[in-house]
Amino acid sequence: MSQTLITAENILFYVTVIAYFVSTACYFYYFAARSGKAAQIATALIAAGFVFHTLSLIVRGIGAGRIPLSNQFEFATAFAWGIALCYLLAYRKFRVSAMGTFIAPILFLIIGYAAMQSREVRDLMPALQSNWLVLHVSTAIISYGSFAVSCGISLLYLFYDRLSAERQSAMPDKKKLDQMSYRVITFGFLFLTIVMITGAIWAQRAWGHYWTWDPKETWSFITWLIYALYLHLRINRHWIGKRTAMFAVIGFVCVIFTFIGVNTFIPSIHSYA
Amino acid sequence: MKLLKKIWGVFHSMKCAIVLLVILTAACVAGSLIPQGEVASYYTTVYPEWAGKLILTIGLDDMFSVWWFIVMAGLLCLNLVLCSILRFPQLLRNYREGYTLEARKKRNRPEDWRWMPREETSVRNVFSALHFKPIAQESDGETWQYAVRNRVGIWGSWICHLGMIAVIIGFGLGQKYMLDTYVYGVPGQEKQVEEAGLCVAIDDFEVKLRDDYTVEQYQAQITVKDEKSGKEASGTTRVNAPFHAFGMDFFQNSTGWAATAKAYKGSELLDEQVLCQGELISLEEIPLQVQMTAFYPDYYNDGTGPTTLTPLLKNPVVIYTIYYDGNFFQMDAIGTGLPIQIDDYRFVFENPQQYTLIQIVKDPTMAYVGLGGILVILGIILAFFCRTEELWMRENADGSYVVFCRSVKGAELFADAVEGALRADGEIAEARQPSDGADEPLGQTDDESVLSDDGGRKSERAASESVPSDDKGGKSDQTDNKLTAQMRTEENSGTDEISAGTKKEEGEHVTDFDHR
Ligand code: HEM
Repeated sequence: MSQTLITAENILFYVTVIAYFVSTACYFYYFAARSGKAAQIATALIAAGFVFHTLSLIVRGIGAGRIPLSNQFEFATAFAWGIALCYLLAYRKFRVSAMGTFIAPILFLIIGYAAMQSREVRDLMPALQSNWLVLHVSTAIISYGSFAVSCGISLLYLFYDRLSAERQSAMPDKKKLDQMSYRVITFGFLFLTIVMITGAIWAQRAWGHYWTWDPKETWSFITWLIYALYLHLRINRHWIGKRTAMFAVIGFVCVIFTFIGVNTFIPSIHSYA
Repeated sequence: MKLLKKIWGVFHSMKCAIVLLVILTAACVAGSLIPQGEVASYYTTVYPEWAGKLILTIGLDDMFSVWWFIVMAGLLCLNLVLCSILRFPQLLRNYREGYTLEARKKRNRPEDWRWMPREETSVRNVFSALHFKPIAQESDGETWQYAVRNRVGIWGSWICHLGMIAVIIGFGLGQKYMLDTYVYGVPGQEKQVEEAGLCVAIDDFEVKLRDDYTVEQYQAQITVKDEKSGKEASGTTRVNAPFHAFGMDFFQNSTGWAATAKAYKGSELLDEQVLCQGELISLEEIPLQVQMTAFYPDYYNDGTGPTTLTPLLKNPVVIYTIYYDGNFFQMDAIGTGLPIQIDDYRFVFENPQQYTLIQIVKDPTMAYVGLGGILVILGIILAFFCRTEELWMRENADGSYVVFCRSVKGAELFADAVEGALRADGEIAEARQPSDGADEPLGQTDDESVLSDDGGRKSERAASESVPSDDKGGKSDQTDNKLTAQMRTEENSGTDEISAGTKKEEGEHVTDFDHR
């Protein structure tokens, strides 16, 4: 990768990190001081950060000569990009700024994690040279991004009772928050299913077996089971509300563990990503 | 009999499904955190004694093949089969008869939303704005318009379950009946694969390196001969691009170093074999064996242990181990072509080259698992993205209208969309009024309302649920002109319905599941 492109990618990446950081701070200020202006700035910053973020990914892709989705840094930054994308889509649909207060910190933490990873551009080992892998990781980004958003909405739900009546009345009611979270989860669940199937196809073509209970596979399956449980528990009326909101948060903790925890704590054939 | 009925009842219930899913999840967590397939002593030394014993007793060391894990997965599958069989006629009936005006009128549901807009125009266009195609109907002397969309969506969960059944059964049978074996060798070698009834000849093997010595691709050229029919097929297998022949896949799995080992007695050549790393050459006349333990193409040792500087054959060195009578005798490093002398016997490693390991897999159920996966995706799309939604309205005798809507997935959000469409039609001019913030399309000005543009609507809804009043601030006043009343219960709902409804309101799925 040429030095110019490396510099361009670095600048774009750090501008993105700063935009997400300031946005998080603005959301906190908005939540604490009820400043509508701060919320608008925060959302605009995420949108601006998203544009820089997209550019940084494009520059890296051009520099590496491939779609940049193949190591821990690339996946972490793409994961953050997915969260920003899903948040902006959810915001467009639901127009609830308050959820940003809970989602922006997640976004910042993930891009912060990306910033700590090695940024080196390496050529791909043969197993990673697969279009199925590209499809696998791209769908994972959307899926994980949706789960982050649903986690944010659910956290808002769990905080709802602590807010003053006045603030509550300026927000969608709890039932609606619950349904928003549910809709976003169904979107993430569809994508997670596609992630597992494309991953299985890739594994089959690369190693001859589509499912070997490798820890990363197992954890994505655990996450999938947790969300399947969430969907079924919803059908049981006693579980709608606080408990399902907690489930959505636990589901996202599993997502994070699948992404970071498995690589850190458990040896796996997925160790490179 | 009663007990049997009860057991049957439990077996096809969703409660049972939830318990099984929880157990399977917990088992997967254990199976991923506890290293699998180690020797027994590993668990008793690494874990506290009681934990080690527990792991070994209940098979947590072999989680995904232990009998109770398989039984749980089997029960989940049985549960799914029963639930699918039982739900099928209900779903079919619901699909055919459940989505008509008559059915809707008969089953007034507390969770059906309704509005009474004052202006005619804002009602009629709602159907088209939301892409509903209404059918006008006379019923009990009243004129109604009824429309349903995505009725097919009610099949979503059923199709998803069907897919899961195929995946579980397919995967289970695949594990049992799959052929999974391998051959390895260097170019020029031909190997028999008895389990597969094949003979595999390795014609060529190449490791493509980049300038920085990282591997770009492993590629083997092979010829496969079916022993029974005598037919042959040749092809290339690469990582991510297996060769397919005789219903089997041949994967380029891994590689390592091999060398030709020669054994001499004096100048007489006793034996010559190609040894891959780990293999031995044995002599017939005395119990002497030499193993090719490891190989370094560009050997380097700075005292911290042997390593290779490059993957190129610049300074090839073999690490060998000698066994006498089955016992370890000596281990050392030697360059290729140099002799290892043991009494009268001499061993030489020559012609180092890379061997390929080709995995041969025939998984007869993989297609079913794939089909199951497609069904699961299709089912999820139908269940969540083809949401069955209904919109209907009654023309009152005085010319006013009542609009109703219903959805079992995210009812509140659908009601919001209907309400938005109702309002938008008559209020485009108002919606375009100058607005302070992006959050407030209808022109709210106070900061707090930025929390959501829904804020205004919500207070208006809450107010209109009690008494329609003029006593509301800002934008609510404006919208109230259009929406005079909006309630969550039908006029003609009996008291029973309403009380049941207060419970059901919590979970709009419940009624639907009961119904189906
Ligand atoms: C891992 C296995 C399973 C998966 C992936 C799965 C998937 C789904 C999905 C996606 C839905 C739609 C949820 C919604 O509409 O909100 C659903 C609903 C449902 N599932 Fe499952 N399910 C599984 C296991 C089971 C089992 C074992 C049962 C056994 C009784 C079951 C019973 C039901 C029922 C009764 C519904 C409600 C249907 C409706 O109201 O539309 N599920 N399932």
